[in-house]
Amino acid sequence: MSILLTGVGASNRYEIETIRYMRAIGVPNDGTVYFAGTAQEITGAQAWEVFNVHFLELKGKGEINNSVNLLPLFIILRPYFGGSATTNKFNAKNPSDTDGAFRQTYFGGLTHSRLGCKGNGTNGYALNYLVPSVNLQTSNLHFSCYFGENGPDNYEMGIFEAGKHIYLRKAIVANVDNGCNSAAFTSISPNSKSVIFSRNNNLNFDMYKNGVKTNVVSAVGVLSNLQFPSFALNDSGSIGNYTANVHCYETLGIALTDQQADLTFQIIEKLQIDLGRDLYV
Amino acid sequence: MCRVAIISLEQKITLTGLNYSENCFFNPIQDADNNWVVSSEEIEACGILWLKELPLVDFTPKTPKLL
Repeated sequence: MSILLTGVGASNRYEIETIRYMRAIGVPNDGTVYFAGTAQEITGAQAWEVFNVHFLELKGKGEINNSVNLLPLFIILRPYFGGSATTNKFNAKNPSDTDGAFRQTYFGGLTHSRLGCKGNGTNGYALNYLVPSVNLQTSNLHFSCYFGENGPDNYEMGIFEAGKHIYLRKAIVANVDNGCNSAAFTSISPNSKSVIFSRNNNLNFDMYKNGVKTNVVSAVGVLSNLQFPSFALNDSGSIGNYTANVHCYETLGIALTDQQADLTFQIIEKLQIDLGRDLYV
Repeated sequence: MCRVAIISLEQKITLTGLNYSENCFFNPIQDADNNWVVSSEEIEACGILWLKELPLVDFTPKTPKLL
């Protein structure tokens, strides 16, 4: 299949972030074919171009984003590209093979594939060695997930701890805490392929679905010193509530404005389209 | 429905912390009957023959919290 490449980056000159990430995941810039015979089929050279466009967009040099350098806002960029645990583990923001760079380690039955990374709803989860109280700021943080399919509501990442909740659920259920302490949403919102939580002061947690702010909730509390898993919930030190959903991309970092959240969604969505993975219906 | 294999406590101790694939570790958990189990995904990816010979059953989870 052909990969639609758009954007000002389809050239032979690559951003340093592209070079570092693609080398880290072991995808050479050549004609090697990955995921042959599938809708996600792509050569190494095409993947280099796709990710170069992606990083250009993040840096404000793209067609979607030609003004805002978003890259400094992220601590973790997890594209889940490559089809294996060995490739998925890398943090595209800092693709060193170390825990300090927030690489992932996987436990239980996660499935790594051309579509991203899928939980098994039984015992699969990932650790990225990020500790909220150490690596995030109480009044200046965000975390997000881009889903690969329209799966059921579940806890997708984070920590449930009294006074220190910081977690992401795929859907909102009425009157249930959803990623912030001592507050509850009172309306039901539809599922969406992108969920972003951003907190830029002591009073509010902003929730964005597909880049659009849908909820603002008053939230107080401090950050946990527990591990922040993906594909499960760390319930006061016990990991459970495993999801069976597909994650295509995760981010963690500092707070996003409305514009930055919308751009983040659009840029990640474009990456999924270019990789043939925008399958959320 | 996820399929799992029931393992003994001794087997659980053996598998805990063990790689079943590169960068992937076994994560035995307990089902609703407090049996220790591992998932079919881990079994399929690993090279442990005795584990592959165990019968698979439907997983019955403990009641999840916080839903």
